Amino acid sequence: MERILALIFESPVWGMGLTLGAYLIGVVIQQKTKIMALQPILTASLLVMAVLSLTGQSYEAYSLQNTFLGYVLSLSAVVLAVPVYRNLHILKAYWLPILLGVGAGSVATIVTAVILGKVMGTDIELILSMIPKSCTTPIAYGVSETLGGIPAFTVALVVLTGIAGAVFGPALLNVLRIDHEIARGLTLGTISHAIGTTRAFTEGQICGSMSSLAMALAGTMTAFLAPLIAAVFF
Amino acid sequence: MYVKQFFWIVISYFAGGLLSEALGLPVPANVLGLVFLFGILALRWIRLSDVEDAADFIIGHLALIFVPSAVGIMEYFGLFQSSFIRIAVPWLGACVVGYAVTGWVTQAAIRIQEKRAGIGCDDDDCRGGDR
Repeated sequence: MERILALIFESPVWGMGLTLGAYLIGVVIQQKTKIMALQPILTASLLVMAVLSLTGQSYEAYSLQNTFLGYVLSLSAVVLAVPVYRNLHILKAYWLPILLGVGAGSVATIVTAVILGKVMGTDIELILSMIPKSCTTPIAYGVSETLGGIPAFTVALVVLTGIAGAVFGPALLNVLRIDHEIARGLTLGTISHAIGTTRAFTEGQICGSMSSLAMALAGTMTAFLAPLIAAVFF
Repeated sequence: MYVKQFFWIVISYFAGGLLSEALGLPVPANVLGLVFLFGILALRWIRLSDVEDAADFIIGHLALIFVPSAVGIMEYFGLFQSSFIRIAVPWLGACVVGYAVTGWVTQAAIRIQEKRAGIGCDDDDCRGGDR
């Protein structure tokens, strides 16, 4: 019995199957309950964590079995060019508000994290890991690596930022009196990346497309600006 | 055809890696790949239909691709516990400020732009009235 279990757990199919299965369950739960906070990525990650702890497997082994998805993850930043190109007409009509908003927002969120982190006495490594927290995961991972942060910790913050944005983002936008649909979509995408974008699409097609455009722009801008901002503060 | 579409995406990623090495910029290769793919689309070297379906497929399943990385949180439970306030305060502050600044700046700029366009129309109307 133990030998069979060991064979199963050591197979790459096990790790990837676990990912796919857990995600599938997460999607079904979201569709059935329609609760925004139950994002498939949250349910799926918790499920995988539970299974790994119950079966006594290491994260390292699981991660290794999912190398393929890791490669696709890295690739997935490239395809964000498509929503940008597709929304080129809106980008052309509103290029100044869009570039100003996404640029100012990306810089503001990074600078706030750095300043508050310094005030709170947070470890430099953690502050650096926090800088790309609003980028989409594949970009955030690379930026964190470049800055000298802890990429896996960055990814944890990215997921939290996305889920918080999907759940509370629209309410926060209401409180802040941001009601223009272009501005709403742009904000959700700039700060809450892909997970915020899924929420933005529930507000409408324009809001959603603006969010995916903003996710790509904010990620690209942050990738170029983060090393400069980090150089100013550290 | 998906194979061709994935081919262009992989080529763009590869070009991003080459650019990253050649330029020596502290920017991840996949971001330069994004810029490259946008460039060849904008220059019309390839058409949107050459990458669209594969791109939409990947974008539609981003959350699935993130799962293994998100599971990595389990390695940092201890860190979250020991530095909870030191992580939570800057994180929350950065999120709220990010929402406020992005939203306000965009909205204000859009209003100014639309108002200018509006005034332009009014001027024409006035001129028309004077005559």
